[in-house]
Amino acid sequence: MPTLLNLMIFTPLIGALLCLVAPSKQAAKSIALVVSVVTLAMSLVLAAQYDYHAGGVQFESAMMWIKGINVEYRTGMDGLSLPLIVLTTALSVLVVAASWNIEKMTKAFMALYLFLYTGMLGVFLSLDMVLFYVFFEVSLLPMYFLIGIWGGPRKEYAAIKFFLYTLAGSICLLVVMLGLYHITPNAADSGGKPIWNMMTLQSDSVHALFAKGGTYWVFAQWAFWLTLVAFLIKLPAVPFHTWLPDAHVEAPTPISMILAGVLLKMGGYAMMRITWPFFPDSARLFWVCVATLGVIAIIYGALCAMAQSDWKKLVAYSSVSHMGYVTLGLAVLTRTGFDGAYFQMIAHGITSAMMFFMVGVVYERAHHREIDRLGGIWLKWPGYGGWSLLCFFAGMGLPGLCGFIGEIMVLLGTFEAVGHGAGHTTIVYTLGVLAAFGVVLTAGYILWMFQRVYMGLPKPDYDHYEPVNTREYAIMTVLGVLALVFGIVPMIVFHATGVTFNHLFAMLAVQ
Amino acid sequence: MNPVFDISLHHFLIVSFALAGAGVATILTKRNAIGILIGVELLLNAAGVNFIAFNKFLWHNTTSTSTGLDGMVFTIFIIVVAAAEAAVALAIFLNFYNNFSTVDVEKADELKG
Amino acid sequence: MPHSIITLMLIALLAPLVSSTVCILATRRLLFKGAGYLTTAVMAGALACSIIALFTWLGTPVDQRHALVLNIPWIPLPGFGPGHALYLGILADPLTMAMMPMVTGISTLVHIYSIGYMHGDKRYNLFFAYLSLFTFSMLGIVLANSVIMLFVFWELVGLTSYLLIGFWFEKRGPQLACKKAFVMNRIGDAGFLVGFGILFYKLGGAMLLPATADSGSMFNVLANVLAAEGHSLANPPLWLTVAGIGLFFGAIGKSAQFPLHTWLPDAMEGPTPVSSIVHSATMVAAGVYLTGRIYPILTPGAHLFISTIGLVTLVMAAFMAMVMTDIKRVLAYSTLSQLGYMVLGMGVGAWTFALFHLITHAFFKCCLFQCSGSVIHAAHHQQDMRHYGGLGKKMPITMACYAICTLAIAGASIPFTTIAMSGFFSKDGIIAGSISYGDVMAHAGYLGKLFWLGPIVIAYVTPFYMGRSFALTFLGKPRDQHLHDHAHEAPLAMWFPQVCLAIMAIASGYLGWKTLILGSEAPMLAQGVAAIIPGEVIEAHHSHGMHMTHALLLSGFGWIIALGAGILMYVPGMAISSRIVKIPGVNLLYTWALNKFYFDALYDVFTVSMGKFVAVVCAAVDKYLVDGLVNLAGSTVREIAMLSGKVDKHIVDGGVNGVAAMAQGAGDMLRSTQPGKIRIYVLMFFSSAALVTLLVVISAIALR
Repeated sequence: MPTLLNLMIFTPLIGALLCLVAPSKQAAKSIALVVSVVTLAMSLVLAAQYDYHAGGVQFESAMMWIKGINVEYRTGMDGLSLPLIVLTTALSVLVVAASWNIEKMTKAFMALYLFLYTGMLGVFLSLDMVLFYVFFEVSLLPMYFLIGIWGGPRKEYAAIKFFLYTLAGSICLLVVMLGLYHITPNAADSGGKPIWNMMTLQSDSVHALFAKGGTYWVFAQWAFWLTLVAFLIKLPAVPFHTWLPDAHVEAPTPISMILAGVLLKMGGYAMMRITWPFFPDSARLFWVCVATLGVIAIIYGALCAMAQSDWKKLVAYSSVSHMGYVTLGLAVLTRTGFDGAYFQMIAHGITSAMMFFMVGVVYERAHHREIDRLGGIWLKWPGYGGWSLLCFFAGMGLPGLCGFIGEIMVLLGTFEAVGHGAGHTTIVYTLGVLAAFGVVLTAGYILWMFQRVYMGLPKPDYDHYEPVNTREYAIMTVLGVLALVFGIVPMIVFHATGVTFNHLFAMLAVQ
Repeated sequence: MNPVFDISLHHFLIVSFALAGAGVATILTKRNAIGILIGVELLLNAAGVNFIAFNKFLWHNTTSTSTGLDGMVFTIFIIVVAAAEAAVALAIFLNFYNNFSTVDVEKADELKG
Repeated sequence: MPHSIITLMLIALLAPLVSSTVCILATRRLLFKGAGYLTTAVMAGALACSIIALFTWLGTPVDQRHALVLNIPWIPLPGFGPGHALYLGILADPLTMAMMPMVTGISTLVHIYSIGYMHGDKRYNLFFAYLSLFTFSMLGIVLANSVIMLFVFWELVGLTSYLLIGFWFEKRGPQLACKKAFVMNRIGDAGFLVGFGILFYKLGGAMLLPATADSGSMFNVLANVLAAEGHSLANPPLWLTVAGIGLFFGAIGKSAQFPLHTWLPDAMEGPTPVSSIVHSATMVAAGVYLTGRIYPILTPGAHLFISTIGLVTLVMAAFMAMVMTDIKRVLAYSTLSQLGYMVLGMGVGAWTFALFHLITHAFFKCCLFQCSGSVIHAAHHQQDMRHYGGLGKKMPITMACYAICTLAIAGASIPFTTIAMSGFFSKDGIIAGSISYGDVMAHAGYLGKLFWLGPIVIAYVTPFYMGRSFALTFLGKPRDQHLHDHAHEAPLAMWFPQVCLAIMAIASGYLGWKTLILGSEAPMLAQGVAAIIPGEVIEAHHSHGMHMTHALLLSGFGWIIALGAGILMYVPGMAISSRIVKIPGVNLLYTWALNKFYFDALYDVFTVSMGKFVAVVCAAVDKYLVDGLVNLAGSTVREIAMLSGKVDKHIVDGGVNGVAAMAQGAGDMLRSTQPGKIRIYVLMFFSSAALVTLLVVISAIALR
């Protein structure tokens, strides 16, 4: 099984090389599709083989990589990565299907996309800090080209902004890693070598170094914020979010799907994997600040979304707002909030990918995304309108659809955080009320958009639009059904994460 | 001693000075290469006159006759060198003329710094 | 016994969902009329299930009638220990038993009605799909076993309401109305979430509703928590009051109470069958139902808040109903006013009568809306009553039904007997409750008096505006001859449900009074109350007995006078009233009421415009400040780079080049002494020679 896991990481890379030497565009597409289907199958096999009762890291494999600084190639899967892996592989098939009509440099597109795919899988599956960092960076470069070559009118600006902004975050992470390199050899059971194993970095001996009042307590506080900034940029959270609307608006539809669906989740995943478990005492110290950031993102993102006239930008800002729930849920340090934040990531992976796809379907035909120039699309394509309704209401957090579970759990978890003790009661209640008020704003901008885009009579220039085709209906059906299934049976996710989160949360819980 | 008819060294030096002056003047004023060559010949001749005059007056008060030819020998060398020099110079001028269709030295500034 | 009831409930709940899904998925393939018949049949099946369940329940010996619960863990809460979860499921207790046949019954009748009303609509199938989906959601609320399930279906009801109001989304009116309805509901829901969150924290996630021996029920847990904090319901902590009011905010949104009431009249943009079920009978009553369900956690402070909101809505809406000329809007404001009665009833502790009124009101108001739908149908979608008049002769069945329901809503009775229409039984119980609450609140001075005065005054106003609408529509001379000529009685599919509902409007009061309130063996609602209301709160409830006769006397005769006045005044059309509204003072009130007390304008300025303004400001801040800072950082770095580039080019490299340039300059200078002119060389040669000679001579002279 560890072999299968490692094979899964690098299958897309092999596919990428094959795409480069493919004889035709069609062949490249087919290779990409086959590779993503095979990878999906692999991830499903892994999910089936995973022992949910035992939890923890499974299918682990390790090999010395850079001996001088004790860096290993170490991979493995646990409850934190498993749902995200399945989400990634499942979305990937849909993304390849969604990029079926890309005709500009198809081979390069597919190759870059598959390269990116390896990066994403690597981020979720690596258990060594350095390896994680490498994959974290590897995922940047293909994205830069995918936006910069296949993007819209301002693609160069957007691509460079995306690249530099996220790279700036990576630098923060690198600084922390340098610190770890110097500090971890002091841990009790390190053997005098730096520790890069992420599981060991969460162990008691390392925690002792970073504990409140410990030798490296000041470093731990700085490191908490530095890693947090690194991942908040990726998430993205206000005020580090402005690369996102630009990147989304310029990126081609399938790339927007994968960007919103998976790449943003790397930020949340890394917070759960690194920031919180490595520096739990810092998290307990700063939780109110971080929670405030989350609430600001919820409200501010929703307000910004409301004011947009570009449809895709509206959806992009909705991502900022939805990711605010992830920040908030993590920050409040309650199990309900933690579970809710994680579910929100999965749910947002489904709904945001679907929303961007829905926008893409219209954009491909209309060649503009001005909300005010659209209208009456529901009457033009009733089936498409129906799926859009489901998709946008899922984004709005309607019960029975996946967006609801994460939102409500984060909200409940926030109120639960009142129990963390005196001194914060008023501010936590305020945060809870504001976050609850966020649902009104969400309903406001989604319904307003829905009214302007979908309701009313179709515009005359729709006449020459070709109908929504079977491939597109298939993609939205899969995503829509996923949104329904996850909304009705959230247990799917919690079943996978439960035991792992028990261990993880034990070290985060407020004593 | 009659300054006009008693020929002393000064008279020779005055002649040679005049010759040299004429030579310099010729060189400075002529643009024609041949003219300059003539000026150079005048200079050389002035030098030759000086050598002969000095030779005459150097050995004038001595009884020895065996070594009174130093200036003569120099002068003969000067004449020979002048001839050789004229030949070389004329050859250069000929080539110059072939290239530039002129012997105006003002034009011959290709090698200036 | 328990299993069969739970199974029946489950079937009744899920059957509409299945038929709705079939209709949505097979929109094109179903025969044109198939959807209507399919969903109606399924709905009738659900009705049968709930009636069987009710009779199974009634057939059980009284001492064995426990609330039945089905709990299915939905969202695990490992934070509270293993096995904890938020549950979905079914709660079958007396209240549910009473609500289920009402909801399924009305839904079946509305489905039948819609077959006639929606005949020939482009999206006929979809309409039935939505309608069934709505019924599913509504049943979910009724059957909810936990706060989370209540909220889930609460939102789904909001969604289906949105879809149904916006069913004709080609037109601008429905578009705006459905959006407004949903957003306003969401404002209430935000409050609900806050209350939910507070309770969730305080009760450790125990969110189950039923008050049974089940120790996980939120009410039992709450009692323990309060005891541990040294509080009680009579002496409650602030958070409990806030939580209760927060949850009630959900009810304010859904039941369109002041100040979130403005969406309901606009919701009349939807097809009339929708108005009859969603916006009069069931969904808007869900808020009252919610309040009833969470009743045991409401503190005296929350009671005061709820009853005040109810009173304000009750009075305000009744006055607006008096001046509206659109037949559906009159009924909409009447619904608001009646909902105000119910909420007031909840607030003042008349739990039983509020829920009783919910049920009776559902029947007669649904019937009134259906009648108005038939009239509108006959009048070619003319909704203004000023164009009606004398339609009674053309539409006798509809007129009869409308008349019966007008009597029902007016609370008609033969004084000092129990021969009365349904509205009498339920409404006067609420009035009595309010009067006794006024006594309780006597220390509050005039406020206490208002609880006494308000409901009684409105008990006169209600028959008046209903008589007005009846007279304007069916009596007098036709005011629009063309309209009158083309008017016709509604088809069978439409008048049949009206008649059924009218019969229920007569019967439900008496039946309910006998079974639910007085029931010799086990008054169902009273039992339900006893089961979930702790002893101390029920005290006020018992004092109703004293005020009952009081209320009967005051409002019992009132309906005759007020209804008569309403009818007589408006039989000749608007002639009399138009003179009255010209009286100074009255005209101001009239304009005020006609403009809905300017709430819409107010909200438009203060919430919608402000909201958009804030959004635009935020977007501008984002674009120019936040992104501006990012771009500024970028351009600053670029400027620094340019600067250092210049430094490098001009200073560092300039030094290197400077050395070379100096050498070159020197060369250039010296070069001018070598012009290539042979004569100049000669001149220099000789002048230098002369110079040297001169120097030698001078030095020779000097050294001498």
